[in-house]
Amino acid sequence: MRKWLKYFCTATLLLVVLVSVSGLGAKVGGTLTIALAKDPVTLDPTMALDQYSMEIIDQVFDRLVRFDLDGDLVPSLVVSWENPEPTRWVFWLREDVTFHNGRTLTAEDVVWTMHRMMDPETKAPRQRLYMVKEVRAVDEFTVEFVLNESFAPFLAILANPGLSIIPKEEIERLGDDFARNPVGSGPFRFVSWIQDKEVVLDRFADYWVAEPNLDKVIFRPIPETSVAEMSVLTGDVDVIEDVLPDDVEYMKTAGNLQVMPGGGYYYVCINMHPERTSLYEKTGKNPFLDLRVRQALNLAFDTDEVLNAVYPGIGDSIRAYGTLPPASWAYNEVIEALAPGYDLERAKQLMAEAGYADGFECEILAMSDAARQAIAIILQATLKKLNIEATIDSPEFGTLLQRANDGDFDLGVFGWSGSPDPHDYLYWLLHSDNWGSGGNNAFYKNAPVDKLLDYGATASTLDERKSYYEAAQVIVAVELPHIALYWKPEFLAKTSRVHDLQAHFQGWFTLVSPEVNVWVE
Amino acid sequence: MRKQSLIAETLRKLCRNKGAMTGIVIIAMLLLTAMLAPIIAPSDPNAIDLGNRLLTPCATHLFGTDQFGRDILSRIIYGSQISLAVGFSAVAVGLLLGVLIGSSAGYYGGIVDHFLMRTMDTLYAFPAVLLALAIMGILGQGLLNLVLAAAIPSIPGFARVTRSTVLAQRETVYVEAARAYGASSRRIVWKYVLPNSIAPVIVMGALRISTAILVASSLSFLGFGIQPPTPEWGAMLSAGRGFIVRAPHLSIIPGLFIMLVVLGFNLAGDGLRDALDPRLRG
Repeated sequence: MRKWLKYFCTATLLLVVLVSVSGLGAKVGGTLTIALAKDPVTLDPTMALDQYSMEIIDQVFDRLVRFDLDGDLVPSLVVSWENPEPTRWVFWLREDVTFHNGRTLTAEDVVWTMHRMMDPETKAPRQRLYMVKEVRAVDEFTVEFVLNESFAPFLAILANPGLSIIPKEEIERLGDDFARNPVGSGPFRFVSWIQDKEVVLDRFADYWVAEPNLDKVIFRPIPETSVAEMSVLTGDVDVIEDVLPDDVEYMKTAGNLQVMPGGGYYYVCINMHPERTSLYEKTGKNPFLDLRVRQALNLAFDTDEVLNAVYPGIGDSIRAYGTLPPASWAYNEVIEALAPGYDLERAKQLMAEAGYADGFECEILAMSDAARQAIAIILQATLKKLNIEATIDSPEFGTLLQRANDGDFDLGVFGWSGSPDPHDYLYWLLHSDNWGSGGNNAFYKNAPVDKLLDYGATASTLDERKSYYEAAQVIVAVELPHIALYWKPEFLAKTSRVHDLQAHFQGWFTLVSPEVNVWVE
Repeated sequence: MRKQSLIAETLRKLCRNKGAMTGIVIIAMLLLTAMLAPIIAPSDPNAIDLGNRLLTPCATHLFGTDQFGRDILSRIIYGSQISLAVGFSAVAVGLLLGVLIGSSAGYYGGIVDHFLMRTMDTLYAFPAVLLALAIMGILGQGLLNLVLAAAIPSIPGFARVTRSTVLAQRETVYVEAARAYGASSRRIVWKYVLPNSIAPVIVMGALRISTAILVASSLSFLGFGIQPPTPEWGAMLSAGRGFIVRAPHLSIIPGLFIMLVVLGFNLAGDGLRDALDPRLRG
């Protein structure tokens, strides 16, 4: 009996030691260093547009609702909401949220933030609230939005970090300096920002969700992806959010790489603008207006083989068939069966039928990242098989964007990403209202598709919306304004000292939420 | 008579100089490669074969294949055309303009001299690659623009050297004599001044070729050079960067060839300088 007790005590002690050594359970304290590909542009949510600014804003601020790790819309600053009429939304705020300056967040802050976004004087780079007619505070913790017309994806709009809630007095105190000294209500407080070197945040102990485990978070810009990979392998940084396509396999074993299906749609944009393309300038007509030519391009491009070459090991899992993420509730699987597949002979035949057996000359406009450059080069070689002589042009980003929006190209290797609502993909990419800078760079116009997308945005039930979007997807799958390529996977590679960190499908990091509280050893 | 003996003597000296001979042999081989590219290249340099990506050097692909399965040997062979063409034509353009500007400045002197040489000084103030980058930024990509971008930074150097020798020549007795019998300025410059000032310019030209090739490769490396898929060594080196851990031959091979061509022209240029240097003339 005594012996047994002795064993028991020893075993218990051993277990306690083991548990404490192996660090089961979160540890408080420590610094997490995250590499970003670029320095942020601004930390003022209203003025931010780029991914990198958003990722930091996400840590310093909160918004009314958010997407959780599964892609579901969940309450954040609100307790609940109601949509009593199609054009009216009422939100009840939490009463225990304080800003970093110690003041309680109220309905007035929400109203002021929204008004600031809507005010033309603010010159927000994207008018996120174009559908809102009026915002008002009903009482201290109740906000009401009145919309111009029914707008189903409204919650998804509010979930964007661009609509994070800002304390009015800080903007009044700091003016434009707020962009470099942000004050929010998020899990981490802003400490300092040294341009092109680092952004430092520290723990906000009074955070309403939970006290963050991390003492400090540092965001460091590392523009060269291969350098970032080295940095995480040597432990110089803890987390990187991108890896080179060809390093995926290697980083999986060496760098704890997580690969998530992402929301970035990559595609070859077939410019159907009747007049602006360089093809039109040379020949007086745009061959891409002929469906047979678009079919030929799709048939000649062996997407599966290309993806397996560009993203070895994961090529099959990232294939895109249409403009909507396969995980979306509105995704229509029928389009996969409608995809043209690979058939070079049929492609040549279609080119001949369309009167272009001898091909033509055209220009490919491509983003300069490794993956899209690779696709442009393979596309160029593919087009040659159809006797189409293509040149590749990759000007710097500003020029490229301008030319894409002006329609000054023939084929483009582009990308698009949005919130998970189907409206954010289908409407911007395919509705003829959005030719050019809106996002419809294919200058695609199809009256039934326009109508279906309008209905999809305004219909009140999910089922109804789904039916409109499903129909639109089928038309687009037949009309082929794009060569759909892939969904850019979200990557997250980290050192082994980081725990509880998961890749978010939108490419940001959830460090503290009701589900997770990231910690480091 | 004197001219021929100078050339003969220069050649004799060059042949005795082992470094120079090495350089000349390297250049000759690269020239041969460039000219015979379509015959000796084992395959189309732009033929994509996605099934055979990133192969290490083997019997069928002596230098291996790149990320698109293209034969690196063939790309190196075709790439020599670009490098040599850019190197020679950039120096030709730079030398021509530089000599024109330098000799005008040196011969006419005064306000012309001031204006031309201060302009040259301004150009000289910029580092070569930075200036070339700015030029590419303005002109856009393309072979011709690449030549111009590599040529323009070399103009001030040629202009300065030409001007200084022309200044010295202008005061010589035979130029004075020519002026005295009424020869035109153009005749004097072409007939008497330039032929006697050209040796240092030629040496400089030979040495500048390697710089021009390096500038062009740097521009391509930075993505400002020639349009893909044209095989250019600098661009190949740059594209290989992403595979440096698992397929280092993608960048090592074009890097070696850039080194080789630069070494060749530098050795030959140095030898030429030694051979033409009047102080070393026996």
